[in-house]
Amino acid sequence: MEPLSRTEAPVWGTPDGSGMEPSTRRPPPPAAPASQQRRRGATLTEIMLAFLILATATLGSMGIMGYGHAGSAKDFRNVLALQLLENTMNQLLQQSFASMTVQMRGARQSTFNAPILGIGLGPIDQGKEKFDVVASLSMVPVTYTYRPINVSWVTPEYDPDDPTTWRFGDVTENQGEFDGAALPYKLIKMQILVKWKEQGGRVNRQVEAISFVVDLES
Amino acid sequence: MMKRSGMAIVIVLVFTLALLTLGSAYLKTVGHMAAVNPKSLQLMQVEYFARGIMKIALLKFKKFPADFYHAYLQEVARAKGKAVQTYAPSPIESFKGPADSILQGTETPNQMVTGMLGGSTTPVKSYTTEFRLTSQNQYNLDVLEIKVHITLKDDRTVDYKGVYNASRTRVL
Repeated sequence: MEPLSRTEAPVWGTPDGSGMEPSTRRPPPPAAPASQQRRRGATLTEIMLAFLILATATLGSMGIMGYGHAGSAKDFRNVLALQLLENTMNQLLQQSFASMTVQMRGARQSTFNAPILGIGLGPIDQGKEKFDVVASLSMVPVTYTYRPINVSWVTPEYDPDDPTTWRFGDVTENQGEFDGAALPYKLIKMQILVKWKEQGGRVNRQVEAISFVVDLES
Repeated sequence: MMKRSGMAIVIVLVFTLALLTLGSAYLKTVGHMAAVNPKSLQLMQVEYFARGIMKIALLKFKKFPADFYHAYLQEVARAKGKAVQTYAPSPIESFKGPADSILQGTETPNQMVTGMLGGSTTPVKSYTTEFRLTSQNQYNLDVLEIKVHITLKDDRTVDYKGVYNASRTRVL
């Protein structure tokens, strides 16, 4: 057996008996093929293009959201105004004819933009939103026509249980002219306006409703 | 590896589509609300108008109860075929009032409806009023039904009905 040379590295046993480590024995990896290099470049382009598309879509979505939010805020103000209108109408319709005429102080037409009868009118804040509520009350002449039933001595055959015996007079307005002259007014027309501003005060908006209050007490 | 090429664009396109779909749905919701609000206002306006007309009709009933009972019951008897006296207009029609009276605002320019609304945006084109007694006890305790039939400016029709308990009392 020949002695080992000092310059030779010791050879250790390996499973395959070759005496070489697999790593040292593996051939160097071949250079990437040209097609694979092109694919890496295409992926970068894809990412950039994708980012561009995503950015565009996000900006578009943000624009849509902003537009939608502005619309929602506008609708929200509109809903608040409707609630205020409804609330004011209901409260005023609860009032009697007599109490309204007291507030009108004998005038045929009155406009109120400050609280009356404990009902909030004038500037009203609903959260951050500001509204202006105005009530207009006006006396309206009303004339009723009818055929009066004739139960006088002229129609002695009158039987309250037999409609065939009933006789009616001509169409008349007698005792039905509530026009402030022949008879006092019995009808008040009520108009409520709720006003507010949009777009930083540049646009005036309003909603309104009318109803009638009658004198059923006298 | 070849099958995965272009996946980034596909995924982003899916995300983009999803974003735009959500945005469109949001816009549609907002647009729907914007369309509903004016209709809510219109219905509110018409309802308050109808409630006012009902009160005007109730005032007429209160002022002329005997004439109303006779006119109404005569109409019922006529409908049953009884030989009642004929009038033109009939007592009940006369009680409701002629066209363009305060209870029968028909579609005539510059007439009752226009006058009643007085520049309001309430979308009423015309209206009629009906009376009905659903029960009566010799004029002492009655249930009166007043119906207001309204035609809107867009030709839709809406009916409002008020039911009132009427009793007769005597002040001693």
